Amino acid sequence: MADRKQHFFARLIQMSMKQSYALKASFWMRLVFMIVSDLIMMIGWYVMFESFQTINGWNFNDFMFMSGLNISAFSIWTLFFRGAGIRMSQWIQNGEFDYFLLSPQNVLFHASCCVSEPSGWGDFVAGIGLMIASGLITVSTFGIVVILFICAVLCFLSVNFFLTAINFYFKNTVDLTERLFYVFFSICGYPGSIYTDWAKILLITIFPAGLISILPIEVLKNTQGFTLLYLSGASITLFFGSILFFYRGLKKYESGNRTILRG
Amino acid sequence: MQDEVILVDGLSKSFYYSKGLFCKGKVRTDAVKNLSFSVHAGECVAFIGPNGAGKSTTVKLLTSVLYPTSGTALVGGLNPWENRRDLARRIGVVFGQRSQLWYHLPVRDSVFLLAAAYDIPDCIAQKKWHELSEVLDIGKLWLVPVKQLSLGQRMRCEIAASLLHEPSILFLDEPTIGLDVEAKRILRDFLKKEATENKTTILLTSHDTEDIEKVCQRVILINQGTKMLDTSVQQLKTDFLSKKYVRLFKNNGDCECFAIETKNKSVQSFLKQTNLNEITDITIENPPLEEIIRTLYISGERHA
Repeated sequence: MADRKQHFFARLIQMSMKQSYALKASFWMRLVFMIVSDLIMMIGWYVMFESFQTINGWNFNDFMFMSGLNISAFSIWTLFFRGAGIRMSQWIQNGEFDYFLLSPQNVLFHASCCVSEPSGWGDFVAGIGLMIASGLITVSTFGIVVILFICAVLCFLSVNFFLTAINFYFKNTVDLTERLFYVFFSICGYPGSIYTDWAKILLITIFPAGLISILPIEVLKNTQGFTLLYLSGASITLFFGSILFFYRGLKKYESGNRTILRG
Repeated sequence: MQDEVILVDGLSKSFYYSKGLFCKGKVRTDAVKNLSFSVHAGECVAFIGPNGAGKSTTVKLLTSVLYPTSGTALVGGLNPWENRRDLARRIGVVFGQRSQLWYHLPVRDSVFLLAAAYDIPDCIAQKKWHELSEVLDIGKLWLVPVKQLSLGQRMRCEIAASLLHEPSILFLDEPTIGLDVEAKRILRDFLKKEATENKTTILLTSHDTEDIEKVCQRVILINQGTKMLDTSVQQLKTDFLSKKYVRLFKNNGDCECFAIETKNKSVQSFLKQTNLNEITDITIENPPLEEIIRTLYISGERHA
């Protein structure tokens, strides 16, 4: 039975990608421009680090790794789970979620995996490239980096699931939840060392951008076992918590009658 | 005693809306109110009512899309709100205004995805699609991107896609909306065949009375969320026929049409009072089902 489910989701992801590649010129343009955009951003930060050398103990390599982790985890969401977030929020708000409820598959993952954003490949290449270029991936840290990557992906998914589910509980919140997600993503893009005291506590608990931007570098630089344990536990808790929150909200779903087509 | 595959008892669904930015409390709208009915296996039931009557809401409640405010239902022996995924394997649903086919991709891709969703091997799905495509005349559309299909072609593909997993219960919400005469005919013939040959239970909502006449044996009329009438299509015609239309074709080529209220005057007495010397032909017709339903809607609204 488990194999069959994997089969469905493998095919679903394949189809959502195929649909996104239907316009080939657009696909290549978005991929290339995403890499260029990520590199331009890094040039800006390089100039900054050239002037200040370190920011609260972080050097440019630390920042490169953090950005690479952030961008590559983000790319997993855009490539495989792009339905979660703004698209799903719109479906919920407009009452267009019926199709997923009528399918004998997991509603949340079905809706999440049916959209793929081709620019994600650009982010993925740039993100992995940055992590390698940072020099922080070695044979001894490789296993930890994989765990950090999985945790970062779980965080992005959790935040998206959570923000999407808000649309079940409150009406007309698509713009708000979209903005909140980009605030989260923006915070993840700054060097984690700038956040101290209460801001740091806030970011590793309630608004968990710090699980991507602060803790991974602390784990790598100081080889902190407890921090890695906290990070893994928090990411998993957040992930399952967001799924629970989503399914509770689903009971409040109100279907609509707009004429719609798939894709 | 036939098996009841749909059993609805006291089903209600209310929606709540805020009164305003600075007003306390919420406005309640009852889309479905204390609805009870049952449908036997293999039965074709038309679920009719004016716009906003609660037809689509009822279908969505029975297909687990919406949770009820109160009441119970069993569809194919399952509680729709507790067994959503199991229920999805037993029912087929077609919403006239919604598509389950992927817009930019060929029909084939959507069929294989649906096959995967229902754990059907590709070869069996393709064989089933081939069978359905012969009846629905969609054989040539296998490799055509959905965006290039006409509305009628798309709707026939939607029906075929809903039947891929051979559901025993089929919910159709306005399946003939926007279709041309030929596409409607193909669909109706197909649904009738599906019900008689495969014993598929069909619950159909439609504003097109021909759908009801050609496909269904029974009619449930609802208005403002409440059941107003539950009878057979034949009984509906017998009970609510209060008029006859008499057409008189005259020597000079003119034609006159008279609506006779049969409770006031019989057709026979009308004809006795008519000068038949000038008449070359006479036709006596029942009013179309559409008119009967329109009368029912109006009387239902007055009653409500």
